[in-house]
Amino acid sequence: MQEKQVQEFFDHWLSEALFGDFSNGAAVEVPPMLQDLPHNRIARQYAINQLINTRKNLTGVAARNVVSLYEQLGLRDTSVRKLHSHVWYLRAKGIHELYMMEQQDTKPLIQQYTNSQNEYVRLEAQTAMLSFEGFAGLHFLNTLTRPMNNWQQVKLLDQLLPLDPGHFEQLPQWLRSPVDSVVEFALKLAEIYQQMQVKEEATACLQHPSLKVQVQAVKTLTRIGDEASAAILVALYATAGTQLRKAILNALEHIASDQERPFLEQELENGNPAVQLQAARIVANCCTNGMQLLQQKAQVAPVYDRIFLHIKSLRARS
Amino acid sequence: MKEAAEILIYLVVSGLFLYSVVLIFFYVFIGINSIGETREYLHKNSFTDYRLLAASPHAPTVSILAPAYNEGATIVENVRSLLSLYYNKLELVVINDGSKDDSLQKLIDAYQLEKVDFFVNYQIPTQEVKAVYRTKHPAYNKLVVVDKVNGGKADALNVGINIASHDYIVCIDADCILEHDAILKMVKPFMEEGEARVIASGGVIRIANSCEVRNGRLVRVHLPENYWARMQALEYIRAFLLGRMAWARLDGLLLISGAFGAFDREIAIRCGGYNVNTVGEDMELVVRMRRYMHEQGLPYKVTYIPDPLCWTEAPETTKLLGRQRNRWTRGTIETLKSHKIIFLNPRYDLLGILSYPYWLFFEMLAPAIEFTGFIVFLVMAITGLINWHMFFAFLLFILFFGYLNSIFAIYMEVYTYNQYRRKKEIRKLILAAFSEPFLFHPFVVWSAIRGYFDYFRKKKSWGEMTRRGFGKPAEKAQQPG
Repeated sequence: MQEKQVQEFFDHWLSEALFGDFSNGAAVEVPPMLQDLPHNRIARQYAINQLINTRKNLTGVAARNVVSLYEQLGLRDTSVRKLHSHVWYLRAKGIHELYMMEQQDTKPLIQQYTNSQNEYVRLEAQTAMLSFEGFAGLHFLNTLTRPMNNWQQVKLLDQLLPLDPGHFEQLPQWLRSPVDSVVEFALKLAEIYQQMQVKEEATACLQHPSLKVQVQAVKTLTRIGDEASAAILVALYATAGTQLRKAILNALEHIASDQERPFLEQELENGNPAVQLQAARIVANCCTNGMQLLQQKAQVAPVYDRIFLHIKSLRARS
Repeated sequence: MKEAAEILIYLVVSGLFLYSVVLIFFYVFIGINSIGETREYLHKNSFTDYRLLAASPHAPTVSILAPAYNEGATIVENVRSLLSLYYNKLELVVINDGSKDDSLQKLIDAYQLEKVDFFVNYQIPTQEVKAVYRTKHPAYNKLVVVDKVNGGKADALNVGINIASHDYIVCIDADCILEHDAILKMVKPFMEEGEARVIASGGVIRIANSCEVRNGRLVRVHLPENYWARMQALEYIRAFLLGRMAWARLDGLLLISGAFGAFDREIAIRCGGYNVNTVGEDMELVVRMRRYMHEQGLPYKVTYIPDPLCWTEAPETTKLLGRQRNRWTRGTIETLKSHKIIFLNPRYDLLGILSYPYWLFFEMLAPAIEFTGFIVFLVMAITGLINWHMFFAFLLFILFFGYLNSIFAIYMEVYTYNQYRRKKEIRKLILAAFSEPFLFHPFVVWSAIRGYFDYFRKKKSWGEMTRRGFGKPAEKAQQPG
């Protein structure tokens, strides 16, 4: 019951304290009920969680006030203690709290965990680097020897999203990383931020031993490639597996031209309805008089007729 | 002669005793593993911000497949609820499995649907697709409605797999209520895959009877008022929070509930989709997908998440409950029989050595063994062969152990997700647990025994399913396929 009272009191106090002015380092007046907060395990974690949730939804002065309250309530020490814990989830949580509360001075401590054995600690430390340094924080990729799963990559990309794009001098180095997922992530960066200067390296990744890297390289070339890229993908198609072929056809929907018409006509005869449908879609969207070609084919066999009607319907709706 | 009968009874009793000991060992083993798995899951996700996935352009694409048969009473509301799920890269495929009611017309009217020319690639052979409908209304552009010739739930799901255009499929019952963030949470395990490909992921199903539902959303959770539904609430907590979490930790899950499960679409297609010749198509698909990955030598994982994400209506009468359990028994027998090659086969690793034998002995055969035990008990009681001191000692022990297991499950629920926040409801749940061995459990065993008989009589039907609808009077729906 007492815990609940403290929590309710904290919520009420926080909603008022947020509007204070701490710009000149002014101290916040901590009410007696909260003075013991750092020593009450449950209450202090509740307070930290509430501050983090509030911080996520605020920007500007109000967000800085949240950080100020966190520091002045003496909660920072709790987070630092967690950071030093040997238990992985406490360490990860400590890192999370410290970067959410903009504790820049803990950067050297956190940096050492960017290649941690534990994937959750590693991800939080990597996120912290981006939170502290923006794009420059990506330097951890230079030394990363452990994999980044898709969730980790999406989280990092999301962290970068609101920031002004930085410079990517090290992108070619990351594209040659011995860690497959670092290459994959670097290709995603090249794709999203349209880093045309790494087109050669991205093209070389089409021959990478990892299928995931190959598929991402195809996607990246869709964004940063030139008029020759479609031909390169078509040449690769012959030796590619099912998944890579699917990725290539997806890419051709965006970059194919009349030059790929013979290849597409050949794929229209493929025999696999999924491939035929996708080839038809590319023909319709990227080739001159593509719909006419499909209409002619529709006379040949019922399958082409159904494909033609499908494409026609799609185009009418788009 | 008498001596031979005594020896026979001695052997049967010893067998039953040994069976019980191993079963108890498994319960303890499951309990311990579920604690580990649940704790780990909670720690891993304690600071996960799922919101980043909701609108992320890098999130995987997901198709929800909702087969519907005579769901006219609730279909519009349920589709609206599904369309409002937090996930941007989503497609909702509603498959009208030849409904005899006005389900399709209601959908057409409510969502301004128009028939479109759609090339259906029958990668998995199914009944004919009569028409595909889409809307130009921007608010409903994720919706695809498929009208097909009736073929049963498995066939409808296969049509959904053929039509779906996204990488992952989430198969649900159209009358289920999903939490807003259900897809966000369901997709994460697929994104966390490493060397081993995540081929399927299951989510927890909870009982929605007596809960408050508004506009297709669950607004307040209550423990079911109806006794049979309340017992199922307890049973589901035990099965999902203990059993499946434990098997997920061992990567030995054989069942992902048909009411809410996510699959890698490509693997599902490669395996041939749902089997239309079984009434246990949900379990059968998981076993077949696992078997396929093993046989291809591909590393894989089947995951499970304990968050309560999907709410469904449980049968409230013995008639309907009996039919459901009868069908589950037949589905289990059919699945295990068609994959008997896995049994104790080291080629399938844990699947063959532990998961399959567990399901065979302690899920499929359990009702038969219990029933046999009861008959033997009656014979021994009549012939005066029972040592009553010993009998009551064992009875008390078994009752105590069963209660302990249920109370532990309730504790896990309170400790983790605590859906029933009122103390009165927890007390009711505990009381329900106390009544279980005398009412609910014998009924479930009897229904399973009837399932055996129906299996041997080659009965294939799902039986009549009556859905009350949340907060509505009962509506009848017959699933003939």
